Amino acid sequence: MFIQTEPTPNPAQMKFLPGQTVLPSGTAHFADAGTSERSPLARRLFAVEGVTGVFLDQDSIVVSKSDNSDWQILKTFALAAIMNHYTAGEVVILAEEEPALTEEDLTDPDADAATIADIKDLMESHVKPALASSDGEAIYRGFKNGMVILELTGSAGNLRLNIEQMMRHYLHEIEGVLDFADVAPKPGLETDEGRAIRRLLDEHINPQVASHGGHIALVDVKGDTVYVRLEGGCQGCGMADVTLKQGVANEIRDLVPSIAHVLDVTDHAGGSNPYYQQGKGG
Amino acid sequence: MTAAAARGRLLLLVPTTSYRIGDFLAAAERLKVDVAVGSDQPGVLEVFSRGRTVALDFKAVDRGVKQIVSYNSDYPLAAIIGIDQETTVLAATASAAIGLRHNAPASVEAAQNKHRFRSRLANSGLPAPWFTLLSLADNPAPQAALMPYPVVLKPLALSASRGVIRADNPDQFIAARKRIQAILAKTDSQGEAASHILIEDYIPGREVALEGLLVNGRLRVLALFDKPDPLQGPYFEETIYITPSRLPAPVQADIATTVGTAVATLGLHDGPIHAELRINDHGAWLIEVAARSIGGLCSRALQFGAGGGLEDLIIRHALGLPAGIDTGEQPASGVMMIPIPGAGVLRTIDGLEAARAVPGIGEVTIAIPLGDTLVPVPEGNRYLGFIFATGATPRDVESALRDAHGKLKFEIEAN
Repeated sequence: MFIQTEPTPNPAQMKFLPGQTVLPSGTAHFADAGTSERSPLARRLFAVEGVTGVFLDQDSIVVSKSDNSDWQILKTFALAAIMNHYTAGEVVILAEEEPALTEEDLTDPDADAATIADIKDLMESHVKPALASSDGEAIYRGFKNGMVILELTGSAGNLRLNIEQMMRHYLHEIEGVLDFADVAPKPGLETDEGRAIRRLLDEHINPQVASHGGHIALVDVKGDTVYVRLEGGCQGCGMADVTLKQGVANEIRDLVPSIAHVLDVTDHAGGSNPYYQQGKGG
Repeated sequence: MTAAAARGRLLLLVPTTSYRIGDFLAAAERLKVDVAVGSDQPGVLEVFSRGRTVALDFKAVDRGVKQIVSYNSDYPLAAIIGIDQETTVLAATASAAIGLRHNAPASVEAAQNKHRFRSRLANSGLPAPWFTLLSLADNPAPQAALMPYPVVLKPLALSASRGVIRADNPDQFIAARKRIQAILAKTDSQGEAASHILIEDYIPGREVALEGLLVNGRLRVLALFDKPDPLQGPYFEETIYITPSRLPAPVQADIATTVGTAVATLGLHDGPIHAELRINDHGAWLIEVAARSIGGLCSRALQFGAGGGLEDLIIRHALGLPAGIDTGEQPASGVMMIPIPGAGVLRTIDGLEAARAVPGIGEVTIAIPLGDTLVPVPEGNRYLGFIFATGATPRDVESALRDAHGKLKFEIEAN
C-alpha cells in the first residue's frame, strides 16, 4: 500500500490519499479524540501527538495539527497510523448497531485464572515496555481457545508475531495471539453478498490459487468494499497485485456489481514462502 | 469510458520477479485505464482473467512478438510498456509490429546492451571511457596483462550493479572474470550477453542518476538524484538516492545536455529513460542509459503533485493522455536501498519501528522475508528493502535515511 500526501491551502492541515476508499459515501468530521470513538481510523490518528482533527471523505483523510506540532514529525506517525488501520482490515466507521465485545465475551468460561494473570503480567513486563517508544498500543481483550486476543493499534499491529513468540516462550498453554480486529463480529460476511463472495473464493478462486501454494481469505465486506488477505504462497508474492487486481477483483465485481473496491490487507513483508520472489531485473 | 479506453488496452510487460507491478497497477487504477499484464509465467488466475493477464515468451523476442500480435487481435492495444530491463526490447518490437508509438527496437536494444551502448556513443563527442569486449572463452591471462588498470568488468545485460567488479591488477582481473562467468551461468543471459563481458576504464567521481521522460525526442528531466555514498568498488552496491541534486546548476545542466545528446545518438525519442553518470573535473560521464524507468521501489521517492507518481506519468504519456502532473519544484526526497550486510540466512530484523519513527521517514519496507538467504553484490539480485524519506533539504533527507538505517539491526546466520 502506498499513501500519497498532499498539502492543503491551510498549513495546519494535510491530505492523505491511501489509494483506497475511505468512506463509501458522504463525509465525517471528528473534532477531537472524544468524538472519534466510532471511527477506528480517526481513533488511531488521534493517538498521534499533535493531531487535533480528522476529516474523512470518499478518497482522502485530512488531518489537522496543533500549532506547535511539526509536519516533519507528525506526518510520519500519521502515515503509520493510516497504514496500520488498512493493514488491520478494520472498518473506517463502526456501524451504530455493532455490539462492543467485553473481556467476558472473549474469554472461555473455564479459562484458568492463573494463566490469564500471567498473560496480563507479560503485557506489563514485556509488551508495554517494548511499545513505550512507539506510537503503538496493545490492549488485552481476552483468552479463548488458547489464543490471546489483543487490540493492537499503531505500530503494535506489526508486532503481533513477536508478541506471540514471546508469550509462547513463557506460557506453553498459549497457542497464539489474535488481533482483536480479526475476531470482532463482521456482519458483512453474513449478508447475501458476503456469502456469495465466500463461495466464489472457496469454490472457484482458491482451488486455482492452491496450485501456487496460496490461499485468499475473505476478511470482511463493508458497503462497497471487500477486504481480503493473501496467504501462503500469495503472501509476499511478486505477482500478488496481479492476482488480486487482474483476477480476484474482477471476478468479485462481476458477481456482485455493487462492490467497487477489493482491498488487500495482507502484511506482505511477513510472507515466508512467496511463490514468485522479487529480484533485480536483467 | 475514457479516451484511452476507447482506443484499447494498455499492456504492461513485467517479469514475475518485478518490484514494480504493484505501483503500475495502482496508477492504472487511479487513471481508470483498461490494463493487462503480460508476464513470463501464466497468472495463477489466468483462467478467469479474460485477457487481463497473458503469458508471453520473454526470452525469444520473435515468439513474444507473435503472441502479443495475436493478443492484439483479441484485445486491441493502445500502448505497450516494458517495465523492467528484460522487457523493454520486446515492448519496442511488439509496438513496431502492431504500429503503436514507441522507440525503435534497435535503439532500445542498443541501450540495453552495455557494449552496444558504448559503441554507439563512441563518436558522439561525449566524454567516454576506453572500453573493449572480451570473450569469456578466451584465455584470461593475456587479456589481464594488457588492461589499463584500474578497469571495471561488466556483464552486458544485467542491471542494478549485478556482476559489476573493479579490478586494479591482473590477479583481480582474472578473479573478477571468473566470478562474472559464474554469475552469468546462473542467469537467463543468452548469446553474446552470456559469452562476453565489457571492460572499461574505471571512472572516478561522484555518481548521479537522472530520471527523464522523452516526449517527441525532447528530454524532460523529472529528477536528478545524487548518490552520496562513494561507489569506488570493487563492487558497486546501490544505496542512497536523493533529489534534488546538490550539484551546482551548471553541472546539472551539463548532465541534462549529456543525457540529451546520448539519447539522441541512440535514437531514443519516446517514453521513460533512466541514466547513470559519473561526474568529475573532466565532465559528465555516462555509465548507462536505459529505456525504462528507475528500478526497485525507488520511484516511490518521486511524487508529482496531486497527479500521482512516476508510473502515472509514464502511463499517461504512453496513452497520449494529458500529463496533468506537476513536475515543478518538489520537496527533497530520497530512498535508501538497504545494503545487504553479509551473506547468510536472515533471521531477525530489529529496530523497524524506531527506524519508522525517525522524523522525515515515510516508509521502511523489507523486501526479503525472514528465513531467506541474503546474497550480497556482485552475485546478489535482490534488494533487502527500501527506506523512503522526505525533508526540507537534501541534507535533511540524507540524515534521516542514515539515522533510520542506523536503527536497523539484522541478525544473519552465516551459511
